[in-house]
Amino acid sequence: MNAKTAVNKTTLENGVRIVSMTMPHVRSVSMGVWVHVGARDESEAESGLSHFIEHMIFKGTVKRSAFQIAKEFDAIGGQTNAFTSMEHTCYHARVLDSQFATMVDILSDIFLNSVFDEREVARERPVIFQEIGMVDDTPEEWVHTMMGPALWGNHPLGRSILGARENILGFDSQILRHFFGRLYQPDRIVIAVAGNVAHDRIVDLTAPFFSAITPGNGFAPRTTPADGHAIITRHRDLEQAHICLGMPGVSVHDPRRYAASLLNTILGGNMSSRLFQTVREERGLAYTIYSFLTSYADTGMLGIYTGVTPQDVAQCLSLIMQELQKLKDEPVPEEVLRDAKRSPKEICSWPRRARTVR
Amino acid sequence: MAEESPDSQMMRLAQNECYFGDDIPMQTVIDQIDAVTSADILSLANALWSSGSPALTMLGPQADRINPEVLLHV
Repeated sequence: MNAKTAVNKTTLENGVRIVSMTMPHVRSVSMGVWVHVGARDESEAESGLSHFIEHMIFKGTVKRSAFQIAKEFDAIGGQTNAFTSMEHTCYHARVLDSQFATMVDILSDIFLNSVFDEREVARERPVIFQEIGMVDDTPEEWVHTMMGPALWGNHPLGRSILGARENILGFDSQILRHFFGRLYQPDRIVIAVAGNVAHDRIVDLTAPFFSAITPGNGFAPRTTPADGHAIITRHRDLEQAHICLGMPGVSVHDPRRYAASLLNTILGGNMSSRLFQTVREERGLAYTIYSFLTSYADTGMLGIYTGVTPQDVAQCLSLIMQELQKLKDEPVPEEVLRDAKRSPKEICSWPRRARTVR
Repeated sequence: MAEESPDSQMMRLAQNECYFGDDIPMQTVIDQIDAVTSADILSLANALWSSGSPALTMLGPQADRINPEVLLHV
């Protein structure tokens, strides 16, 4: 136990970890079942499987139908959600503390006993196609998605988390079950809980379920992509030209991540940042302009997004490049650094490409 | 502010456990940030962006007719 932050951790015999923070001043409890497996752990033919499984987890277990799962979550008044990122898949919920045991029962059941019924797979496939269509119809999302292949090519980190349509057409119950059994290994599972519940009670309630997971049969080692410099453009009849730039960033483990966080804040992380002030406030070229950090276990990216009138693309890109060059040429003034340090301290940036369901 | 939210704490706990196998207290993060100097940022910018132009994606009217390669040279 970490006395200062009241963080507790228990590791079950099979390697499943339970971490918790007791927050006696709140009335709710948030619980997440995390799997350290995501889109980057898929082969090209498997691309989209992690995300498909994330959807299917809510589609029926040995003892609950998809409707019963939805109904029981609603009955305890909880907020339930799930997401898939490049390196994680997470199933989480938040309920009043009095409903914690019921939440554990439902979350454990859908995670451990999902049946991946063939009829439900067929029903979910068009839902995922609609999700892909939604991204295609959202220009800001689209330019971010395309940054993957532009920076990292055909490496798994360069692919869409949602997967290719042809892959999704081919996924069936057996493929989903095989992938789940192979990669959802106990030593990659973390149960995280924060709220008004004691650690011992969390362990008492979750351990009987999660102790039953046995190791899978193989986890392919992750590889680190080389940074690329590709340019990908696509015509579409829109008012704005949506632009995304991607450059090498830092990994989650890089000791320079704290400096990277401040660099990002100064460049385009808030309203007083250089990009916001130069491009929007001084010249009125864009409504939205920001920079962002995405960090993974072994690599990362610093990105910039903006949307401008097509005839302003050249001027806007030129201004962005000038600001990047300025960061390379001139030390940041002390007062600017001091102000940046007052911004929220978010270091391990949330992967931008996480896809959420429900 | 994030410290007051069970959802934020749950996510922070899980990420720290997945990546570091341990809790990284918020105070440690704050101390590390406070220790960053202007020289650190200058050094980082030069280390990260020494290998040429950024990757670029563009979507919009006639985006396919623009030659951004020219525009990205500084």
